[in-house]
Parts: sequence; C-alpha cells; structure tokens
Amino acid sequence: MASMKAQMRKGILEMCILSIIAKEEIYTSDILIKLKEAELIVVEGTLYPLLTRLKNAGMLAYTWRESNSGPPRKYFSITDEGSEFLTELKASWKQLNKSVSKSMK
Amino acid sequence: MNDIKNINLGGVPFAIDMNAYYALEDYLTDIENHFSNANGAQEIVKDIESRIAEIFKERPDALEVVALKDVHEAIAVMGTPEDFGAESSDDEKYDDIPETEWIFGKKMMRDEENALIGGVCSGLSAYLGIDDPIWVRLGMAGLILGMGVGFGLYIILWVVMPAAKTASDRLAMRGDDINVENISKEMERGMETLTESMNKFGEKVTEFGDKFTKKG
Repeated sequence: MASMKAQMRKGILEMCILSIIAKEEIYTSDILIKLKEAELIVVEGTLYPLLTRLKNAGMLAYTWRESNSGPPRKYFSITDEGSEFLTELKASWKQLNKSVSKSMK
Repeated sequence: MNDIKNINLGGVPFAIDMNAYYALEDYLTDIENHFSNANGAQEIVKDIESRIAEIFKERPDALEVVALKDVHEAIAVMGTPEDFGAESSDDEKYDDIPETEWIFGKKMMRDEENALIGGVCSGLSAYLGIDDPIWVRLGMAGLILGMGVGFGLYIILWVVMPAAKTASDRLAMRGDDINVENISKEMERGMETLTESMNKFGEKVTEFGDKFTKKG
C-alpha cells in the first residue's frame, strides 16, 4: 500500500511539475517554492531526479542562464511533446477525479 | 583550530573547513549511492552539487570559509535520501533495465492450447524443453497403465499446475524471455491458433449441418 501511495503521489507530482513549467520557463528552486506552497514536497532533492527523467523522456528542455550567485542555472521549459502529454494527463486526471468522487459518495 | 581545504563545487571554488568538508563529502556520497541506479544519475548528482554551490554563494558572508553549519543548512534545503523516501529510487531502478533482461524463471503450467486432456503433459514437456509432448504422454500413459499411480499423479498435476492463459504465461511456461518482442510474437501465434480453431469449428458445424440435413 505504501508503494501505491508513493506511486500516486509521484504521478500527481509529475503532472504538477509539468503544469508549473508549462506556464513559464523556470528555475528548479522556484519550482520547489511553488510545490512547497502546495505542500506537495518539502526538500529540493526530490525534484532533481523527476526533472531529469522528464527531460530524458523529451517532455522538458532546459537552457543555461548565467547567475549572479554561483554556477549557471538550468531553466526548464516544456516541449511540444510535454504539452501534449500534459493535456492528456489533465484529461485523465479530471476523469479519475470524477470517477473517484462518484465512487466515494 | 581547524584545517581548511579548497574545493571546486559545481565549477565554483570554495574554501571549506575540514569538518564541513567531511560532512559534505559524506552527504554527496549518500546522494550518489541513492541515485546510483536511477536514470541519469550523474546529471542528478551534478545538479545537486551546483545547487549546493549556489546555496553557499547566497550566504550573506559568501566569501567566508564554508563552515559545518553552512553544510547542514544546505542539506536541510536539499534533503537527505531518507527524506526523498519512496519518491525516488525504487521504480527508477527498473527504468534502467533493458527489456531483454526481464528473465523470469520457467514455470510449470498447463498448455491448454496443445492439450489432449488437461494440457498437463504438453505443459510438462514445454517445461522440460522437449519439443514433442508425445514422449511425456507415453511416459504418463505408462504410469497409468503400469502401476496405476499415473492417474492420481495426473489429477494432482492438473490441479496444481495453473493453465498458461496469457502470452506471457506461455513464454514463462517455455522459459523464454518475457519481452515486448517475444510477447507480440506469441500473441500473433495465438491469433493464428485461434483462427485455425475457429475454422475447424466452422468445418464441424458444417459437417453437423450436413448430417442433420441428410437425416432430415
């Protein structure tokens, strides 16, 4: 059961990350701030493997940007494939949401 | 008194206290081990290193020597592998395994597709790697006729051996690798068998119909 919970969380997390990045090109720690607000994750380290995986799957792309403090930063943006995937995810999320609330009535 | 070490973290040079250095090294080793099986492990570790360098740079006293408390603060932001919990590695491990490496052990299953009675003998011969089930059938028949134990054995095996219903079951029955290629081959073959038996059924129906009309 613990793994099912983790899987659900992870799927939802990926959808949220994609929709945050879909709005604007964004830096990893700024993604984290939004996810923290939504109480989805607490530590930044969780985010890196997810971003790397989404990037390797062709959903995300990044560009290097100079930073005033420290090393250059990776700014993530969504690819066409990623937007398509996000639309599908959102649709199935809506469907799932509807089914779940119906079955729990 | 404390020694100081110069390090390069994410391309940025830092002077760091030795005790802070060891803490940071331990942490990065932990991270590396944690992600060692993940897809793009090196990139993940590099990203985390860069981010820690940035956190060090963002300190109000950025030019100061990095102290143990700075390392602890950075770790608090990034989180330890324990904090990542189930969100990270468990299924990423599988992402890295090519499909062909998904080898399951052979399973003893009944081969209903090639069955005479319950598919026990054809399943057994697939398990033993014998092409033609006739030999196992002969052996089984010998056991039944010769000593009488065969009948009981057959019934027990029939009950114990699950039927190979899906394409992957059939692959497991023969001990073939379960990968996309083999499964689709097996499914194609299954469709052919299905069409064949449909045709046979059709023939039988026509035969029956012929007989019926002749009688009538």
